[in-house]
Amino acid sequence: MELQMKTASAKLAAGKKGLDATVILVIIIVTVNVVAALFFLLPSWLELRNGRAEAALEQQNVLTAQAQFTTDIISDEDIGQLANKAPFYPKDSGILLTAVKLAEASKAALVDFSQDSAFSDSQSDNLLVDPAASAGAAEGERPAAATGSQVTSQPIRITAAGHMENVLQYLRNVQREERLIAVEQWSIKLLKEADLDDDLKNSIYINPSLPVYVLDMKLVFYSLPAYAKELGGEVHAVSEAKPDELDALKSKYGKLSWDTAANK
Amino acid sequence: MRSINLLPPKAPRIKGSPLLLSLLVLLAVVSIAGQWYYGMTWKDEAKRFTSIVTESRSEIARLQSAGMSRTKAEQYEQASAAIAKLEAERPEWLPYLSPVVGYLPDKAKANYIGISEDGKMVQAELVFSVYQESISYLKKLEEAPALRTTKISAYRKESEKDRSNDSANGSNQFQYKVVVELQLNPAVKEAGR
Repeated sequence: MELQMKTASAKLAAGKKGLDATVILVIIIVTVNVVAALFFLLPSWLELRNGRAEAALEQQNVLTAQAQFTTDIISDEDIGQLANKAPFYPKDSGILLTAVKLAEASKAALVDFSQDSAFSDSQSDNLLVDPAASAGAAEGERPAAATGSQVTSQPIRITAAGHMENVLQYLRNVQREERLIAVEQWSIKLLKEADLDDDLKNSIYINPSLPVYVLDMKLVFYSLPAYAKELGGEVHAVSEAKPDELDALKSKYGKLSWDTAANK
Repeated sequence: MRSINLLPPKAPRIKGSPLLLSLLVLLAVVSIAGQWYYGMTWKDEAKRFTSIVTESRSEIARLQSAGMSRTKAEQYEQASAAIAKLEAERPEWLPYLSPVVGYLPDKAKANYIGISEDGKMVQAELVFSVYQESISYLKKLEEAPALRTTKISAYRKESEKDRSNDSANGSNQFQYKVVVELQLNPAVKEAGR
């Protein structure tokens, strides 16, 4: 009887030891998992989370940079060419100098240069040009007012005298000039001998024995002051005459009406 | 009688269902493998994001160093297009002047050549010393492709002696004054660009 009791007690003790081992196994599994999660899984997750946020931020920065910058580079040469056609910093002296240079290249005498106030009234100082509307625009139509580019126009009246081939050359030179000039109106008139003043008679370009013609033109010079802030930079190009050039012009054509315009 | 157990003690036996133990071991393996799998996946993903960050930064640096301000580029395009439009639309007079002056005989002269207010017509007052030359000139103008129509507004024969009021000069010389209005052909202007 007592032996049976001992055997039962031993069995019970052995049974308790077996239960402890299962618990220990569970504890080991949990511990290993927790340690792995803390030292391996959690850092990986944090790294992923931070990386994702940083990548999203940088991608946003790329979009911002793409909105601010473009790789379609416009060279300074291109901007310079545009400035030569229509300067960002227009000066009357530059227009005067252009008129004089064209006259000399045509071997015609420049008789008068003036800002055409009457003509100016019919012209808008700031033309709003919509490039998209250019296609199909009928001849003679003024640039349409639309949301678009701002181009400033400056009407100038120029009178030159010379022989027929020279005044025609002047007209041709104006239309071929690098600076964009529109010839809005023109007329060529034979100058009567009585109207030939001494200045014209003494001009190196005029032979009084041959017919002398007067070319009268209403021109429009264009400029882009609205774009000076972004595109102007160092580009002043041909928009103004240098002081020595102005002095030379004044000594040569001092009595002409452009003095006031040049002094502005 | 007292009994003595002389048998060696039994080794402690792990108690429990073998199935439960197997399940626990399997759970351990699965959980460790799962952690390893997710850990490695996240690490790879994090590496991908790191490379995105690196590429983005280099793209930003490239745009800032090699690119130009988009505003500047857009303003250039806008201004350039506007100037090109004005250049394309500005009147070109040389194709029309060419026949008017080019066909003029050597002995003839132009008193006046000018464009009308609306810019669609050239008006000219010309003086010829030979009748036949004036007619020939007008015919050439009528055939000139740059001119749509040639309208003779006035044609008169004038005595040069009368004009100069020089009675001492014996011989009467005549000149032929022609006033023409020439409608321009816009198609020629386009072709002449």
